[in-house]
Amino acid sequence: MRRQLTVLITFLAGFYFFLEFILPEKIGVATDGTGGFEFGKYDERISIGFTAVGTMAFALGAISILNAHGGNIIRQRKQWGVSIALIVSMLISCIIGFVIWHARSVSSHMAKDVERLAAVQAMVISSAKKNPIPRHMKDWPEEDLPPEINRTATLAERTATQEKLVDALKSVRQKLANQQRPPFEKGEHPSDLLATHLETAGTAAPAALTALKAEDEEAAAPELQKSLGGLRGAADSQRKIANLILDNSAANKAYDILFKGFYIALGSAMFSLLAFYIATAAYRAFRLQSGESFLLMLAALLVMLGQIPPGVAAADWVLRTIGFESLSITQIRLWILQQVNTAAFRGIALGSSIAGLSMAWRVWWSMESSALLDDADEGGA
Amino acid sequence: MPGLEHSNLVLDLLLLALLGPVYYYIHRARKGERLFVRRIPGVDAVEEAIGRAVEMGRPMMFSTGLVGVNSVLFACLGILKHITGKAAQFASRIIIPQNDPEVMAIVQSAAEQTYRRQGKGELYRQEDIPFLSGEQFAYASGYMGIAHREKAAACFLFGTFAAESLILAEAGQQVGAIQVAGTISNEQIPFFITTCDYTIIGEELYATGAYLSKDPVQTGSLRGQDIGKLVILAIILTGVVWATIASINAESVVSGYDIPLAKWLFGKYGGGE
Repeated sequence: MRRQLTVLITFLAGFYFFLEFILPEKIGVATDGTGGFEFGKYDERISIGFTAVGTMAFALGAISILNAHGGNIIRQRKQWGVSIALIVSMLISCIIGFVIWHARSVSSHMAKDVERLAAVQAMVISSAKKNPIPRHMKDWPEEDLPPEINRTATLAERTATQEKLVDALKSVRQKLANQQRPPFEKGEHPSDLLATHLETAGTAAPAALTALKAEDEEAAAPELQKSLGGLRGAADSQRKIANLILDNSAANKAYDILFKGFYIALGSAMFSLLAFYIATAAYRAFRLQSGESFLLMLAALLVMLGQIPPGVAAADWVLRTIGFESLSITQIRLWILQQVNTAAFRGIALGSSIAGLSMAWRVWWSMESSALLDDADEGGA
Repeated sequence: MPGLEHSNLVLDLLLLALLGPVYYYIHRARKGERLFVRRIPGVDAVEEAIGRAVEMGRPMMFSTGLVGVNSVLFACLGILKHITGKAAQFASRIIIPQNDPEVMAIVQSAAEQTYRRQGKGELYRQEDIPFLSGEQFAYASGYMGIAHREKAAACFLFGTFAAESLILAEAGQQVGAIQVAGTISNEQIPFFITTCDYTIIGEELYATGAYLSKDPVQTGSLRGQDIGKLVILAIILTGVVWATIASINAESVVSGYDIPLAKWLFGKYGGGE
């Protein structure tokens, strides 16, 4: 059963992507341009599926690390102190990651409260006239359209919405008044800007409500616009404050120490080893042990000489001296790279591509004896 | 039916010409026909390295580099299964550090199957296929550490590699391990050639898996690929001759898609029309 399921999923997945590659973006479209099946439509969902599988696999990776290094610590194997350092670092990174994730969600939540109020205020303004149907809702039946779409809201509905907005604005202002004031150096502090914008919205929104209650649309309109401007400005300032709070948090500083101080620095240290290793590898390769190593050394020497200005000057002088006046080492270098090297690489790439195509085909049709299948089940399609 | 994308009649025919022989020879191999596969020096090197590790009583290491779940991994699995099988047979230890958790799960499954098939299931140790890191240099650092601590006698580097290739190969050099590498990553081939005892280049990676496993599907496929390469070679030669003749007639060098063969092959995607 396991084998059949694996074969079926492999085949269907391969078939989907094969068709997606060769068929046009949309198939089965009627002559009037409607209907049809769009392959790319499911790409995002499939990609989410891959991400989910990848996430589960990462859990496997974490378990593997804990298993291997936990075992080292318990049995006090050689260099078990390194295992302790690794597990402690991993736990600290996880904790800091979770704290930052929580802080980010809290701060973005606060900015979203203000953004939501601005969106409601915009709706109160726009629902005074008939809302056009958005493009993505064009094909929807009339009864499925949201109430604020394709119709004008009544004055009573708009007044009720504005009343709710004024109440919500009061509570949001109270909440934001208590938030910390993060350090800020350049220009006007976002907290001051926030207070100014909220003050504007806090004055204009109730004034608009009073005008709406008095059925005076003309007086309400400028106040509504003022309120919307204030709320949008406040949302913008709140996002900046949230980012500043996050940037100045202890968790973020700890993350910086771990990431920039250790992770990047250690990665760079490993990368810098390459410079020394290239030198030792080149030394071994250029020792004249065979005809092949002689060719390797000769090609490398010509390319290196043609690459650096003093090398070009010296080699060209030698070439002129021995009578090759029209020849330059740069031309030789380019010839080696563009003719010999490229031809060799293309040959390798061609062979690899054909082999890869054949392998992909075998995997698609489950001919490959797979590691995912049980012994008893193996044998191919 | 609307027009196809990324495909035209000629490319479909070409696909058929490349995959048709593969299917045909797999079919023949499965029916029991013994297809000749030339022995590549890298295969001898693999056997030699295994023998040395067994004799010295020191572990072997196998790295698939930064490979993800793709055709290269499946090619590497053929080689891995062979080496793991020998390790199980001679009760030698093989360490396979991992960079990708998805690959790790597949490799663990393959290794466990191989140990069980050899009747040595009790020797299989999951902790010898550890996940080191998803980050390139952290992985390289972990690999180096293991090679030094365990004093690996043989290191096999088969898969997809990037800048870490030289770090991995130098780690093996430093502990005096016999090293065999194989990759389709063109830029890393020179590093392996200079550092490893044997390097399997490009498609030989796929061929090695076929040779070692003796799997009819793989050997049949290998023979089919050779026919595919002949098809490509014939097209290249035809193109070269055609372009040369066209250049003589035009009294100037033709380039790109100037000849009908190139236009025919690439259709509207080639820019020749």
